[in-house]
Amino acid sequence: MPTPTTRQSLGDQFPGILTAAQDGGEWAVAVLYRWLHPALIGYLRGRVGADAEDLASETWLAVARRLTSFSGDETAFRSWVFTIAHRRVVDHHRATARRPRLRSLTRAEGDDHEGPVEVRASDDPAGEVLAALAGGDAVRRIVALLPKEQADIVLLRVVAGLPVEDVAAITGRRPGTVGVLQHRALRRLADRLADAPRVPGTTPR
Amino acid sequence: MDRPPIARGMRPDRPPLDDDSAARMLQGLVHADDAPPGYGALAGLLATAARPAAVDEDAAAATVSAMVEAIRKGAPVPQTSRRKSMLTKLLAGKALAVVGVVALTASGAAAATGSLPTPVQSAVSGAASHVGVDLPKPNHGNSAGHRQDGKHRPGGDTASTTGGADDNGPSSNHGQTVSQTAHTTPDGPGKGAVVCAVASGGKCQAGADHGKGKASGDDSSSSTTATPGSIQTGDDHNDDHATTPTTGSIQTGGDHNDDHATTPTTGSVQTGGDESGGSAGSGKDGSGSSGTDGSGSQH
Repeated sequence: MPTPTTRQSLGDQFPGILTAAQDGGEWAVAVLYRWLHPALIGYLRGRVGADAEDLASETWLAVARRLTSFSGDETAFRSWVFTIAHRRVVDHHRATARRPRLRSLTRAEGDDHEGPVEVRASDDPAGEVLAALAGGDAVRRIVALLPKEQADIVLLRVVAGLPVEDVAAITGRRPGTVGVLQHRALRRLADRLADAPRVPGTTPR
Repeated sequence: MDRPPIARGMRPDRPPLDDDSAARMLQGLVHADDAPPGYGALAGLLATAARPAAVDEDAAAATVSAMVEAIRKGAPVPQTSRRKSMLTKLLAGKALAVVGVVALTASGAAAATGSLPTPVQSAVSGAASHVGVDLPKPNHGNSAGHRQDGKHRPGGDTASTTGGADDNGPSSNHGQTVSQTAHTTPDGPGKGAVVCAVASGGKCQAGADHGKGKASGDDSSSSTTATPGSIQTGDDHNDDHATTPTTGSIQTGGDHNDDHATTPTTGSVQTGGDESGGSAGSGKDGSGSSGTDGSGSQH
């Protein structure tokens, strides 16, 4: 069975894979893992930085413990996994908020993000983005340029690939509010990236 | 573009971003070259962010193995198990409470009716009396089981026997003595008084009016039946049933407690014939055991 990529849909295969995974089939668990883990780890890296691997493992184990009780299609499954991950992130931030930590003195202008991700502010952010070849760098760039709540929504929309309704459910907001926030985020990003030169090698999927 | 701008306050050289373009860029589907003017960098950034992150194969294998183990173990969710535990404890507590209430109620009812075993009844009665609760004592109750120590006499036109414990103490032989007296005493006007005297230990005043009822062994017309609960009749009653309510108790009015005024049962005297002993009886028909306080009976 081919390994699906992040945005690849399992389609009609999903119900059978889910059933096999619920029965403890290792191959089916591996398919689900490889299907969503790239998006999951990308989201977590943007939210918790170096602790992303640990939180990803916790998220997957939580999924495994509750897998037999899950029912739904692949969209619901994706949303469910990211709901668990989001709660882990919230708990992680609560825990780290109680611990003293160093704050970056080079925070970008207008960046009120208080997460552990540290990104150098630059006078040419667009150039940095275009120079970045890894998705992780782009994620960190987004987090550095956006307020926390806007960055969370953009990551859930872009990295996790969730629709507005699911993002609203995960973050506890109304879909209309999520729409407003994401547009504000895009405008802020566009303002920061304006006049940046394009890189020929950057190709969207 | 007919759609209204969704972002205001943007730079003058950048047109507003429409909903469709925004949605496509959020999905990482817009190439930088295909983005609206002024949004090329944003489109490139979002498209790059949407790329799949690299997966650590070692970590993937370890995580999948752990997931499979967790699934196969069927590890319960802590919250669920906690809820079950709480529910179990709650039900167990309620069950214990119900059992306790039932046990207390049954014990109380048994004590109130004097149905407990003699030692227990005595102890409970004594303990309850200290707190002002009047419970029957073992020998004062109407329970037949506490009073029956005689023998059943089948046959004859009498019923049965009831001896019983006297208020004055154990009287396992008292009834027998009275019975023998009743049998051996010749019939006559004084028989009742003799039997009465034996039964009452010399305190009997046969024929005297104690104001509590007719009590005369001679008075064959005064048949009273006042021995509730303490009489066990035989299984071969005669039609006339003359002896049914008898037995009773020869009572010496003044010696009894007030609370036994209506149940004067001490020293049973049995009427009826051909009894073979062992029970208090008055012997023959018409001889009538007598007793004061209206406990005697006659045909």
